[in-house]
Amino acid sequence: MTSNRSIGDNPTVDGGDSDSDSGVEYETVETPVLVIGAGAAGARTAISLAENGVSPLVIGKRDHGDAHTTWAAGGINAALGSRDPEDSPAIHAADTLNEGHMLNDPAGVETVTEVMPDRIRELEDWGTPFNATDEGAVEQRYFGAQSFRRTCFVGDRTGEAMLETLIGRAQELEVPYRENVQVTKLLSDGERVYGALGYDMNDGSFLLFRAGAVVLAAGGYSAVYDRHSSRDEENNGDGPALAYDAGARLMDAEFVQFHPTGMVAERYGERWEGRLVTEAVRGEGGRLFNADGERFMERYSPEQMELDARDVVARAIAREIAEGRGTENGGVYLDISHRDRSFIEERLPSMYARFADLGVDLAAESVEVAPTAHYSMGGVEIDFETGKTGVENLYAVGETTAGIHGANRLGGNSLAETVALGKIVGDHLAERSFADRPVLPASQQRLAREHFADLDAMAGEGSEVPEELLGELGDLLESHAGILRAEKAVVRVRGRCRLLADGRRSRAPGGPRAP
Amino acid sequence: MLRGARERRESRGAHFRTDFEDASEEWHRNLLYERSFDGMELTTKTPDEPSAEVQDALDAGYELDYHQLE
Repeated sequence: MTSNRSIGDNPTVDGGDSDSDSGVEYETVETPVLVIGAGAAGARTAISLAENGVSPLVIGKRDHGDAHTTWAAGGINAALGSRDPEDSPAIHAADTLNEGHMLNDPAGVETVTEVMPDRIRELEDWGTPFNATDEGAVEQRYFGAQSFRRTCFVGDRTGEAMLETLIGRAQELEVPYRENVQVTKLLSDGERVYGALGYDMNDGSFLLFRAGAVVLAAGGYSAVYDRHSSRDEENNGDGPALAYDAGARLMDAEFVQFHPTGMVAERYGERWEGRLVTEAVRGEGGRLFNADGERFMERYSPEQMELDARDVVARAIAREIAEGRGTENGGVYLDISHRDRSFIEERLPSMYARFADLGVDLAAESVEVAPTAHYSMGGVEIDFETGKTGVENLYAVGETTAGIHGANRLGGNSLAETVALGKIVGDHLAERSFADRPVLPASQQRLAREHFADLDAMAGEGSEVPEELLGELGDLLESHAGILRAEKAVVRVRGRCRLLADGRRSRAPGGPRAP
Repeated sequence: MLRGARERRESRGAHFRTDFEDASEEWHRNLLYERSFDGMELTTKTPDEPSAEVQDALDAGYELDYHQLE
């Protein structure tokens, strides 16, 4: 993608203009297809469009090449059979359905597992340096709850390597890109989408995107929880929220995957709150202890111990903490110090280095961990042959959607979903004609002006600090609707959220739009 | 999220209710969330059946030996 290029410079995008008749100025940007989100899903969608002669505009909240995809370390699933020839897309689909407790969309799952071998070969052709076997095939490893070695990887930086490849390919195709854009509303009458509204995060200026189709590739909602494994401004629900507001249906929103071992801020500092301690630490023999020094997994899962499924281990840790057997920093201990230093350095290099920087020696002492919100299975309901939502001209792809993962996601399937469906959605959209876009209806122009006026009013001095409101919401969700839930607590937290929302309506939050 | 967490009176996958610790066959359904004039409207639907080939794979009961995990 072409970074730092203003849209006006690009011949494939109609020139912008500004409108000030309402007193609020904004820039208008025209594009056949607006892709909201610049991670793997958005990039792969844009590549298919560009390859078929449609030039989309991709917008992202962060600097180019720095989407949340880069944090996906583990790998990407495809039934290549490099190691286990008996593996097949059907067995990959069966594993996915089992882990999703049969709430997945089976046709969507099969679509993904069938095309994945081709998507891996394509990524390899485009330059992703997958680890290889001695025979030169793509190497595959075991991953939790998979029947065969199926997970392809690039060391422990698979997502980052994959996104580099996709962005390189998009740049070759000269896909227009605009960074640091926050979208706040879709232009929709509830039945049809006309574009999107938002602002430039650098200077706070308002933007109206007029598009023939809008593709939401904006991630999930796990970061609404206080402890989460994403960076703060990512995965905070933009995609599903924009879709819902525009009239689309959401599905499975109650399902959020918690990773068992996130770092504890009280011990390692705010910057590390919820960041993952990779599952490999347990895979290499790491043991979990409560504050009483008890290896508590013996009570929850005597056979599989620390290597049981993510949800089982996460619940066990949550229970220990809830029942008062956690550390004073609100975690439990994860200990691998019984292993030799050389072994730890060789098998867990990035974890060893990260903790060493924090003054913690993995070879000599334990670390403090607690479950962290990691992935949202729910999201926008889509048609898996096209990416269509129920609203005309609105499409969704990637973690923003629901249906592939059901009630729980199989590790290694998130990256798979992004490229498998990205291509399908891009190819479908490329068949549509975007030649004549009718003028924006007066009602939508009015909606835009009102929205910008609202944003403008919110940006001034207010009685509320947005970060504090979000922090309170995150705490409430975590303590009452996190890993362990119960009717009473959920009802209570809903009441409190309503108070928060009402408060927000009457007392404008303060703070500038741009940092 | 909260509406769904309350509505789903069972435990399944990542959703765990301390007041309903087991999965319920009745809840082999997806919850759908849609905006309506009266606020958020919740409905449910039953997921489709897998294809014959995938059903065969499910019936074959493949599974990972956890001790092989790297």
